[in-house]
Amino acid sequence: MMRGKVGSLRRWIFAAALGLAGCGGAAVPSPELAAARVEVSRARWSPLAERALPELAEAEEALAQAEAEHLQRPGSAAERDAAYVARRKAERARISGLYAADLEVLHRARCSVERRRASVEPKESLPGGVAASH
Amino acid sequence: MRSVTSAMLVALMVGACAGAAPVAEMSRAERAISAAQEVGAEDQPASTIYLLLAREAYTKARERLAVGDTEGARRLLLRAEADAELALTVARESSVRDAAERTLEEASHLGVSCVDQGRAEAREARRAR
Repeated sequence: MMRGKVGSLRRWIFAAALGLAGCGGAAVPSPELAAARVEVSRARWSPLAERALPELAEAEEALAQAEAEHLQRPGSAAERDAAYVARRKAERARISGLYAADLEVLHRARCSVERRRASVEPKESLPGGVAASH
Repeated sequence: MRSVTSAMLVALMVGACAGAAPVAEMSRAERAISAAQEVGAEDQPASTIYLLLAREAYTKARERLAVGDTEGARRLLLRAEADAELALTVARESSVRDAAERTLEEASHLGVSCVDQGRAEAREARRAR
């Protein structure tokens, strides 16, 4: 019940903010900034985000710089370049999460292979099942 | 080589007149490009495009420096660094993924029981992409 009211209030605040931005003639973000926002959001909500927190923080900082450029010099080359950097850093954050996950899979697979080999090799190297008898 | 050095000197002199030359940004971009090359980003289809973009931005930055546009050069160097860092990460991820797949295959031949779990995790990671 309470959660519903809070959700409704949030929607109203969001709608009011959009309306105010429209009345105030807020500048339209460049396509680069729009793309950077999407990419940073994608990296932030990725299931692997917690494996690349420093990279994600860097991407968010770069996006904040791009947003600041947008406020100061909307549509400028400075805004577009800062947004480009933010987008690339967000992509890097997402791939870094994947890298960490891949590395973990590789490590565990190697350990399993080594354990398996260790359990098989002594029996094979000693004739007559000597190892098995001990 | 001499012409490159001269161009750099001219760029730095012009930069000194127009504003501080982005020496730190240039050095960081160069290091990032070298690091990406060292991990073989050039040879991997997924990462080569980012390395090319990094080099292109770096070249353009030097051209901007030569005409005294230090601010434009600085921004291009930041782009070059970001592209090169992404190239490095993509190349690393790609080679670790290949190694993981090969090891899982080997584990499967050896009859290791946790292979299915490892494959499921790898699939999950792919889905997160």
